[in-house]
Amino acid sequence: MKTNEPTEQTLDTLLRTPLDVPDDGFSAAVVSSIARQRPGSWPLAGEMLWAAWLLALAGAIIALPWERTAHWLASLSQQWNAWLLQTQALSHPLWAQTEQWSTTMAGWLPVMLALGLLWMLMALVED
Amino acid sequence: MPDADEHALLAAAQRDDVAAFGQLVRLQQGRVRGFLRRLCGDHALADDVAQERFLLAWRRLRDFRGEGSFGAWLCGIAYRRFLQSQRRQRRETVLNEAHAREWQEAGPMLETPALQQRALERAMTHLNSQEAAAITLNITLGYSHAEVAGILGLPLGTVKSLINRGLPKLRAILTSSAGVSHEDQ
Repeated sequence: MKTNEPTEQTLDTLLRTPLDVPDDGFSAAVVSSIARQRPGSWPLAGEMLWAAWLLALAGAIIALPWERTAHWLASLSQQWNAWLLQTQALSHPLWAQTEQWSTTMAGWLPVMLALGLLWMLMALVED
Repeated sequence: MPDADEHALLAAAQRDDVAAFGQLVRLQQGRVRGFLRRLCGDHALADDVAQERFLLAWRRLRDFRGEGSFGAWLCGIAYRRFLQSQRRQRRETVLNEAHAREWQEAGPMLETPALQQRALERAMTHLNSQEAAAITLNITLGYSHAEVAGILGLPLGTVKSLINRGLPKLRAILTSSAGVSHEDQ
């Protein structure tokens, strides 16, 4: 057996040794950080801004006329295609897919926004 | 310190008394920083996380209803922050690389109490976070299994099995490190 091999007792003693961490000005640093935050600042300002932003985003998701937005995006895409054809700047077949792509993307937009909102809410709750 | 004093300080701190909160920080900093040091293995990083958590605790002090101990509540919020930072930067990859050479060069690590503690700290970083947290909270900080379950947000049975699984691993890691040191002599 190796002389320094930790026995059952050694490990138990090691684990039960109190965590001796001297203050070293740590608590004073915490208190001074609090004092710096206090004058003229609202401790919850950050959280309130987040909440307001999330509410605005949620409101936008609920209130926006998504069907009209999708039509508008599709029409924009058609105009874009027409302009491309007219100018003949691009003749690559990929551009023919633009209209379909933009309509699909418009359909997915609310889902993506909702997922983003969910992700941010989870990050807030975890904290 | 008697619980009555801690309750009085808490009540004062909840009424925005910064000096009372400062005393609470003085009382609890060793526990929280020590816990985080065991989890991180990096003292500077652990202290940064601890300071940030104490500031958060100050802002959310009114949320503390006194259902458990104040120390347990602090350890809980410290642990959640540690998990977040760990997600951003997997500690295994960083620590294994950082400590591998240190481990080999450490020499007879179990000679003095300070070195023994350092060896234990390093060994802890090789356990998974839940095992390291459960062992530290239960054995070192003296929280009951039920309290540890509350702090970590895990079922009681899981906490017990984490401890039962982690201890043999820890022993094996420490044994191999002592062996490496000796063979290098």
